[in-house]
Amino acid sequence: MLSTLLDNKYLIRELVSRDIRSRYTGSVVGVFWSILNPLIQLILYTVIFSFVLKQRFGEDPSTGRFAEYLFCALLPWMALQEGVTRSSRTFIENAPLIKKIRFPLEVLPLSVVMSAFFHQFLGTIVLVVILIFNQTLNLDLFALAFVFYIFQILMIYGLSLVVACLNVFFRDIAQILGVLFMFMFWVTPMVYPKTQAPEAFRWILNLNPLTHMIETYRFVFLGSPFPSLAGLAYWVAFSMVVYYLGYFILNRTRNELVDLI
Amino acid sequence: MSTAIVVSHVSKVYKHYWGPRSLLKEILLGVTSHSRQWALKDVSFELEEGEAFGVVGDNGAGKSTLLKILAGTAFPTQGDVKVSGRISALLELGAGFHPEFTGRENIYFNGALQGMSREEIKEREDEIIEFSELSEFVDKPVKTYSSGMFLRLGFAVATGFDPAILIIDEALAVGDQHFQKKCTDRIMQFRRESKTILFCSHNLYQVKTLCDRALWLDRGAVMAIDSSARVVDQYTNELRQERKPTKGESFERPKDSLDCAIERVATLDAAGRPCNDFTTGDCLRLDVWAFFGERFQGTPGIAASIVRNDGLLFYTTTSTKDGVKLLELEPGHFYGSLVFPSLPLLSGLYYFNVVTTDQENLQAYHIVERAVTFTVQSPTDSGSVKLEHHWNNQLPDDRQKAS
Repeated sequence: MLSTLLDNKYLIRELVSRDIRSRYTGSVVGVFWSILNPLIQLILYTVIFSFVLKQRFGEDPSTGRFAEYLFCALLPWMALQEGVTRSSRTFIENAPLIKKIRFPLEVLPLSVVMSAFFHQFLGTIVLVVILIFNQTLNLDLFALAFVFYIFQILMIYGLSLVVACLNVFFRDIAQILGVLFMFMFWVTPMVYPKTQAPEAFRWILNLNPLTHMIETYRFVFLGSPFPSLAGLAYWVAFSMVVYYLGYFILNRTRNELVDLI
Repeated sequence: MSTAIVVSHVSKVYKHYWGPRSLLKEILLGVTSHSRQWALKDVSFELEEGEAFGVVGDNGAGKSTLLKILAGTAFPTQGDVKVSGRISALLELGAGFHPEFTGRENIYFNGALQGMSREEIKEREDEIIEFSELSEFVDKPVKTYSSGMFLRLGFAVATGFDPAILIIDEALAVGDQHFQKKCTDRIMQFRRESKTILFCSHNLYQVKTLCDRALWLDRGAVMAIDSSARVVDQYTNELRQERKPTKGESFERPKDSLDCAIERVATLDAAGRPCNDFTTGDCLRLDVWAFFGERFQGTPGIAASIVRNDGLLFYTTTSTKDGVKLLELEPGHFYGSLVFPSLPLLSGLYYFNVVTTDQENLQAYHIVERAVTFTVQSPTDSGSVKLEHHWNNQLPDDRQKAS
């Protein structure tokens, strides 16, 4: 499965660039929106949470850092949501392509995932610049993020493959996803630290692999306490399983899929 | 020569689920909740490298499904397909174009879809732009193109990356007359370069001239695989058969004709051997034995008509009108032979209607429809009959004066 992707790396690159560019065709500043968007968002969050609401994030004594914590988690979350949601429709949206031209189907969700990651990456650059400015960047470790990006992409890609295939058979999937993400947003400690969740519910948070993912990113970028090794291992294992599951479902449904699109 | 395409026992079933709920039911409970439609039934053939292969058949015969399976955009339910070499399919021109992007960007994107690398595309970019005659428009968004420009670019992109196998569905040529010529020239060039071509068309003449061999599909099943001329002829015969309004044979036999009967009829070739398969220009001989009883008064005569299987009457002639007396072999038993020294008929399935008449040709005594059937093959001409003709490449005298 990796070899199909390597064989088609130019096609994937073209698809990703087509996806990113098509979003900004006709706009004046173009791809700069991908930087402007997170920048404005980050500034807005800082103003609201730090100056208006004067929120502290968990045990952190400073009120100024709430947006940093939030943003650290929000960037991968948005990549996940965008990647999976858009992947669920990608086979149907590209029906003319799939029906007329022979190419490996898996490149379509992958290109969506990579385009979402591209925006996450630009957002991360904005975040890192702000962190440097605030002198709160975890300089020793933040480069480690690249290692975790791999698992994050594998996870999103795997989930994307699953929903992309299933949505061809059941168009309800795209609808269900909306509800599911709404729910997941709150059972992932993004706008609150895990420690603040009631003891009775904490097992739910621990069961959620995303909890461990964002805690890892907070550790890497902000120097938050290291998440448990078990939690990290759980998330990495989850990513791999989901990735293989995605391919398993694609290979099982590939033949019938094209007839139903 | 190696084989380019091997299709072995390919069948394709389209499942029609009655709705999303029945699909869920089938997956969860294993209850069959769909109807099946066989688009292809046990299709097998091989294509040599460099061969041009035609596919003919009615609408819904499975042609498009077959092409899709070969192009890799659909998968067979049973059997398998082996393809060696890169395929480019002219199934729908410009299918992969994004309207917001320029022609050039779309060339790159479509090249990538066909599995080309950036360098390979760069190499052919200029040639494709030149062929599509877009010149300055190539850097404008495709959505601003006229339909002709769109098709031109689509054709140029589909054929521009040097495919080993080309699959063509109907669209042999697109655009205005000038560009259509370029399209056919390019296809013929592929032909000369010994590329493998799979051509599916309702234009039987094109199939006959372009392809070496052809396949005739009917409701998903293979009816014939043979030389393209023979397959097209067979298919045409079948088409004509269907078009004929009444198929029933009638042996109209008036009561008083009992002792005026056609006894035997046969078609023979130039050497006098019984023969039912002819080529345009061959000598065809029709032998008729008839019996005329004692009650018959006058000169015995025989009328013969050539009818094509779609019911079209080509020609009728009678022995008495031509002033020929039948040979009386034994008392009451007559023999006559009708000879067409150079058969002008073109490809088709024909039969003779033979009738016993009297000298005035007013009375038809014994009518035998489809007394004998025969086929005609014509490798080159198209139409119904070969008309005598010649071409001049010099001005005739009367024109010379005028100019």
